[in-house]
Order: sequence, then C-alpha cells, then structure tokens
Amino acid sequence: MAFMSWFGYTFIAFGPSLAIFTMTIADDATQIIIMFTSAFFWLVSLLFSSIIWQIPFSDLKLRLGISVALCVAIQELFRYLFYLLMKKADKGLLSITTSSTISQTRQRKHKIAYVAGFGFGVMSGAFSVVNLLATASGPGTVGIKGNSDLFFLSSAIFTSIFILLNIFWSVIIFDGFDKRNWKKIAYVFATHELTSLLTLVNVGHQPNYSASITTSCLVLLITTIVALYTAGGNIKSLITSLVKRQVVTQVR
Amino acid sequence: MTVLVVLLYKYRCYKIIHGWLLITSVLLLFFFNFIFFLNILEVYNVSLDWISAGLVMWNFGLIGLLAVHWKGPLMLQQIYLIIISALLALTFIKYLPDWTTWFVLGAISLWDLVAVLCPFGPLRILVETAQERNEPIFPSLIYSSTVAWIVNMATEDETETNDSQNNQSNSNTSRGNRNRRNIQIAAPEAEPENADDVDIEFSTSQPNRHSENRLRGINDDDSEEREATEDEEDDQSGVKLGLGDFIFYSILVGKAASNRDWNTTIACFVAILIGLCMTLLLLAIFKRALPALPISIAFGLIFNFATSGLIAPFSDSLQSNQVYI
Repeated sequence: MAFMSWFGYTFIAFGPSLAIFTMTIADDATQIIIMFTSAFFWLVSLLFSSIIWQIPFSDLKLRLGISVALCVAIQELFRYLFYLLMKKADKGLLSITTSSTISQTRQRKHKIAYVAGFGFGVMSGAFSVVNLLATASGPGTVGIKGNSDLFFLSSAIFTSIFILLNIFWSVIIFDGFDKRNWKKIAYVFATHELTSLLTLVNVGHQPNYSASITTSCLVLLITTIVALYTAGGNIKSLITSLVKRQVVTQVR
Repeated sequence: MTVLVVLLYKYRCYKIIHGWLLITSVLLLFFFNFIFFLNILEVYNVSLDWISAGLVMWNFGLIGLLAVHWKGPLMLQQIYLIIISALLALTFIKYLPDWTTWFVLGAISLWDLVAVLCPFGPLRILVETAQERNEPIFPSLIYSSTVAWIVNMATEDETETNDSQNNQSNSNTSRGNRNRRNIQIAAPEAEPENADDVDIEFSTSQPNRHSENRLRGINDDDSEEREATEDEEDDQSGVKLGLGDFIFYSILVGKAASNRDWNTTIACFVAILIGLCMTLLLLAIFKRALPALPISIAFGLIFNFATSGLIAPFSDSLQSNQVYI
C-alpha cells in the first residue's frame, strides 16, 4: 500500500515535469546544461535564504513568513542573475549548439527561459517533496494523530503546481528583462510572493487545503495564459499546434 | 603509485602495467562484486543457489573484462567502467571512517592539482609522454564520451596552431578526425587498491590510429578489421574523463546519501555536475590537460556541508508545514 501511494504521489508531483523533460529537453545537451546551471542557481538562492532562516523568531508563523517572503525575493534576484549569465553566454551557446531546435532564433530566447524555469522548478520541487516521498514509501499511517490525511497528496499537488509556475514565471520575466517591461517583472514577483505566502495557510494542525490549492491553480491558469501570449502565441495557435501534431503522428 | 606507473610507462614496461590493471579489475569485478552481490541478497532476503550465483558472477565479470581490456561496444565499455568505479567507491564508503573520507577527498583534489599542473607532476609527464608517442592512454583507465560539440567549441579557432605541433606525425591519419581535434581528458590511472592517486586530465592530442590498433588487437591486419577499429576510434573522440574522477565523485555523492537526506544528495549531485561544467569551460579556454577533481569536489564538499547544516533545517520546516517557495 505504501509503495502504491508512493508511486501515486511521485507521479502527481513529477509526472508533468517528467513528460516535459523527455519530450522537449532531454534530446539536447545544451539544454540539459542550461537546466542544471539554473538548478544550481536556485540552490545557491536557497542557501542564502536558509541563512535568513537562522535568525530566531519566537513565533513560527512569523519566522516562516519573513523567511518565505525574503526567499522569494532572493529567488527572483537569482533569476535575474541567471538571465544576465545567459545573455553573456548566448554567443558561446550558439556556437556549440549542434541540434537545430534551440538555434531557431526567433523562439530561442523563450526556449532558454523555459529551460531555465524548468531547472528552477524541478530543483525547488525536488527540495520540497523528495524527503516527504522517501517517508511516504516507508511504514506508517498518514494522519493517525489527527493530522490531515491529505498531507502527502496536497504536498504532491503543490509541488507540481510550483514546478509549472516556475517555468511560466521564467518565460514571462526573461521577456520582461529583455524589453524592460516592468509590468511583467512586477507581475511575476507579485504572483510568486502571493502564491508562496498563501501556502502559509497550510501551517497548522488541520489545514484547509481547498483555499490554497484553488488560488494556486487560479494563479497557475492566469500565468499560463500570460506566458503563452508572452511567447508570441495565442489560444488559436495553441490549438492548431496541438492539432497539427496529431496529424503528423497519424501520418507516421 | 602514480609515480610508479609513470616510471613503468616511461620505460615502456607495458606488460607490467597491463597485468596490474588486469589484476585490479579482476579483483573488483569478481571479488568485490561478489561481496556486494551477497549483501544485496541478504538485505532483500532472497535465496539463490550457489550454481546460478556463480554463473551470474562469471558471465558478468568476464564480459566486463572483455569489454574493458579488449574490445566491446563503447556503450558496454562505458557501463562497465562506471560499474567498476561504483564498486570501488562503495568499498571506500563502506570501510573508511567518516572523517578519513572527507580528508581523503580534499587531499586527493589537491594532489590532482599538483600532479596535473606542475611541470614535474607525474600525471602531466604521463600525458605528455603519451602524446609524444602518439598513443592513447590505457582504455581501462579513462571514460570517453561521445560528446563532440564541446570539442568543436574548444578547437574551432585554435586548430591551426595546435595542428602544427602534431602535423608531421598525424598528417596522414587525420582523416578519422576530420576537422575536429580531440580533447582528451584522460585519467591515466586509477588504481583501485591504492587510492593515492587520482587523475584527470584534459589533453589536446590526437590518438594515432595505428597505435590504437596495436593496443587494441594486435592481429587485426586485414583491412576489414581495421575499418572497424577506425569507426570505433571515431566514437572515442570527445571528452575523456579519468576513472579516478568517477570514483571520487561517487564517493562524495554516496557519502552525502548516507546521511539519509535526499536534499543533500541532490545538492551534491548538482554541485558536482556544475563543477564539471566549469572544468569543461576552463578546458575550452586553456586547451590542455586539466585536473577535473578540484572544482567539482570543492563545490560538492561546500554544498554537502551547507545543505546538511544550513539548508536542511529550513527546508525540513518548510516541508513539514507545507509552505512552498
């Protein structure tokens, strides 16, 4: 039973990102390097925010709130630093690219942003859920002391949401940096703070997940649409691209 | 140990070195493998009769020996080299006390720096001798990847200058290499038993086809065989990484994993990969044999301790309170 639920939680949390990785990133060495570099940047940002966590506060919620708010700011700062790095490394990356996918210039910037966001997201997802999953596989019963028995399920759902959100945030904010579009930067920063701080609702003995999950999903939906338009698409082109791919697979 | 191998290599005692390598890999692939195989069976409480266990071990080990020391598909060779490194790393993790391991990791990366970069460093002498003689370094000591693009980047502009050095010896064998030149990261030696030397180096050299043939199979005189070897050699161009590096990377990650904290393991893994990327970047800049351990191990050690000390309490409380950042 524990193993089966472990399987379920793992694939709720990492299923979408696994699909994204195998379909769009895995076949290009350059993209994998970008992904790991951005994951590393996220790690460094977490290191800095964990230093803030060392400041002791008496109230747990206050301590969590302050460190989460600062952590989000630090993460966005590192996203900006990563953007600067990518801008510098752009030429070098172009010269070593062998696959044609990333060098098709018009979409290349968005693609780099997308891969960078994926690295950020997967790393944060891994850090927020892997240890829980390791516990979930072992012996024990969830919620036996009156805690919510949805603990693992909601954790997995949140992880999945945050991985996707990170991808779209990166796409939007990289474009914002490029065009000095302050609205987009502010949007990303604000929604990131919003969703992260909203998860503070989960703190406590019997949290009500419906509020935080619904708002996160709503933010995810809006962010997805903004990212879609940022990358130069619209709903029509999205549908046609899906339909086209179907035709291609049928022909093959 | 490193010095001994270099001396042997310098005075062309190939047989002794080959025998040595053969013995160590036999030990690893059969003896150590057997120990760990038994351990696994014990842990999962599986019963297996001696005959089938012997059969499995024999086949596994023999294919490994053939792939590593004679010839086999590149993929198989890579798999076995990784298995050998992993086995050795496991042995270290299991039998060395904590602090010894950390100290060895630090010391080894410093030694690596000295051995590869100092003018009289043993590994440097070894790589240079190998280049002079136009021979590849023993296949059982290096892991070669088929990654060609980094090579392209490193070499596009400097091909001319580098070529002039090797021109005489290589002018008629350059067909196999086309326009690109190989950057080898060779780790000439990783001796299982005595880990006092680790080595990784990047050298810009073109392995000579004929000597390759000589090393690989002495009797391949007919042209078909030669064709095949050429193809294989093409596969072998690219970045080469010493087995020693693999061993010490795995020791670090394994040590991190033994904390029973997945975050530490992931952090270490990413840090080592980034260190490797930076080494490759430096390789592209300096275009010579470089030690692959120092940067990676330094990053790995920093993130291992930082994660278990600083990040873990933070991320644990975030996890248990279901706060997401």
